[in-house]
Amino acid sequence: MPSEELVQQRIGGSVVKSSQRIPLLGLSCREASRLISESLDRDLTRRERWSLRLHTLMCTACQRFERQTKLIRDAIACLPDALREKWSDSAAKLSAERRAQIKRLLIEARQAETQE
Amino acid sequence: MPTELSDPADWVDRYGDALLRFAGGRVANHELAEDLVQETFLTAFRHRSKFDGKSSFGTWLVAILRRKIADHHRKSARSTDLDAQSHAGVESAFTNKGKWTTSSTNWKSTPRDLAENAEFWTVFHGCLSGLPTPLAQAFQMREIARATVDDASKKTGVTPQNLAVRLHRARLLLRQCLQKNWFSSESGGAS
Repeated sequence: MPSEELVQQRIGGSVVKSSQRIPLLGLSCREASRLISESLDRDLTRRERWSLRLHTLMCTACQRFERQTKLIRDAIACLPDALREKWSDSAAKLSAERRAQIKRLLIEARQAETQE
Repeated sequence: MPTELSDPADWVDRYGDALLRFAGGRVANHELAEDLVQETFLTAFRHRSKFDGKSSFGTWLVAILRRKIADHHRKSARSTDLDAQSHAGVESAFTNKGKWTTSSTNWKSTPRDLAENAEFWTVFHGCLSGLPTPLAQAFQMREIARATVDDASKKTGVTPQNLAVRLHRARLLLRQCLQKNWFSSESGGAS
């Protein structure tokens, strides 16, 4: 009889990556959408690829999600570089008003100090 | 303090954007992130005699900002706001059993169609800025500024796994928003 202990040891012995735990069959759409998203950022493992392929083969909704996320990426890639740069900057910067406000406050704080 | 840092107004130009990026990945919206950066500079000014030069000035500022962010989360009754919000967004996309809750139309436009349509980008921009800041920031870095996963996770100070979670959420929410505000009326129009 295969001992349960042995199985646990084998699992416990190696780092079980989340990818190894995903089922080959019966992946949920939630999980499939996660893999679709991650496939845009890293190479999926062989198991993940098969699991996703088997799921999307049968699932129109996930096929659409996959095409749509890629469409968004490709559309962004078609934008002129200058426009893309402008956009990627705007959220990563202090607004001009805020910048001026902080400087003003710092200057005031320094003036207050020298008057003391 | 190094002499080139003697004018506090210069601090803002040198470190402001980096601090904002740090805060942006950790609180729910841009304005709040700006508030915390502002407080950080004012606190740093008041306590500047305590800067010992052991670390770089930038690192010292980040340490102050980190405390401000922690304080904010502690004080705020909605400290889990951010995760809850974006989590809810993802959860509502799926049933308990992990199936999609809403159906989407078949998007027919080509990337080029979209790229050349200014109206689309207005809608897109609206959708993107409607996301919780950390999600918008992750998406912006990865898809718009085309940063590598490593760079993007370093800049936002989260693990690559965590970044993957944010990107997944961002893509789901963005898709939902674009479906609703753009593609639902596309049918039949574009080829």
